[in-house]
Amino acid sequence: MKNIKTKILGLAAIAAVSLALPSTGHAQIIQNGYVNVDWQFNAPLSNDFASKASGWGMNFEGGYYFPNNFGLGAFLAYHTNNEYIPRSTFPVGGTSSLTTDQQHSVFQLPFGASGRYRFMSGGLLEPYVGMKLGANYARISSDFYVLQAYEKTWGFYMSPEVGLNAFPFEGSRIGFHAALYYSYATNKGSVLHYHIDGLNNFGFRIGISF
Amino acid sequence: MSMKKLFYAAIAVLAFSACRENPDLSDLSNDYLVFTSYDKEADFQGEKTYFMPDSVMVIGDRETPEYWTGETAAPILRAYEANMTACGFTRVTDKSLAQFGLQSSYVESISYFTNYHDPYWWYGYPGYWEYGYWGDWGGWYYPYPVVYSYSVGSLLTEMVDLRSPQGGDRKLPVVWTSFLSGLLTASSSFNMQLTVEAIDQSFEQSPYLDNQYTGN
Repeated sequence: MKNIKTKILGLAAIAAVSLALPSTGHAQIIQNGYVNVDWQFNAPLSNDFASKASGWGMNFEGGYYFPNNFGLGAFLAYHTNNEYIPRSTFPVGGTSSLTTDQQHSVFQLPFGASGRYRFMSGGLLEPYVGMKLGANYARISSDFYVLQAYEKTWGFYMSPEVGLNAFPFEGSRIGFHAALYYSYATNKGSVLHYHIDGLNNFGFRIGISF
Repeated sequence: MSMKKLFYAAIAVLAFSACRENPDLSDLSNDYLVFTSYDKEADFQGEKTYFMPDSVMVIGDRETPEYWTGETAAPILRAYEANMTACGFTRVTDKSLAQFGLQSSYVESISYFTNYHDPYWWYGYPGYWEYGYWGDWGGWYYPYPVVYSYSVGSLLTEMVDLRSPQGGDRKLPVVWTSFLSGLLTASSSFNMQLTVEAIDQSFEQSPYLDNQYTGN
């Protein structure tokens, strides 16, 4: 019930912010500032625990362009990748065995500082390259039967990115955003007989820019 | 409201609603779970005899012990006997001559145990297979972590080592445990076929019980 309430409040907040955005004129909240709110699609790489790509994630980023085109800011993203593991028998500890099917899940929440360089400004298109550096919280879990085994981990996070902001509305800085990214985090953890040493991801983001 | 604002709002709402943290547990099958543990120091090799009561204890919501006997318990006991025989164990009818003992309990209800967790929830059940049933021991000893979940529809089977020294200050080692769960059908009735399959699986994943076992 608490999760549903939190989700509804979040939806309402985002919708309210979106509706409050001015549709004409200079929409930048801060002169030379930028904000991206994205839905993202994330595909884990070299991950034997939960390798199924998914679109269960978002990215929030904001910053400030110093003259002329270098931007510095902060970001927060989150994503969940799940994978169903068919019924199997595997060791647990040194003296136990377990037969069951499982639902694996990796929830990642990276946050930290971001920087970017845009190649053009003031026009319809603003292509850029960027880099995110920070911390990555990851909750690694396995659900089976009515039980769950999990571990919470922390790691260092880095993510290069190429993207494009598009501003199709004349006289407005409200537009669209698209980006491709790769990320690596140093999280390590063990759940049941599975061991994770590093989280690699590749994905894309699309959203709004203002 | 302009179309543009509506568009942004729709993107934001759709994007946020596409995110979630918890996996969909409805993907999990309703098939049984089998968890086994054993004592690495226990010797299961050579000639082995065991005694198994002709009943299965039922852990229900009454304060008096109940048992499945006769034809009700027969498929379960037959499954255990067949697997034990295949592993080189010989069943004996005189408890005092057995090297091992095998006891099974079915969890029909957990209402009696909702406030009883330590050290092991089933300890508090009146009439639970007591160490005194097997001989002169003063308690149980589990040489490995025990991680049972007390869920309805579970069969808990334990093998005790009757060769262990006796005495009021000694504990009876439980050298093998098998926890089978998910033994109910969709209508919440006990599924005997599923139970027998789960018993077979518990031995399948416990090769160290077999006379022929040469692994580490």
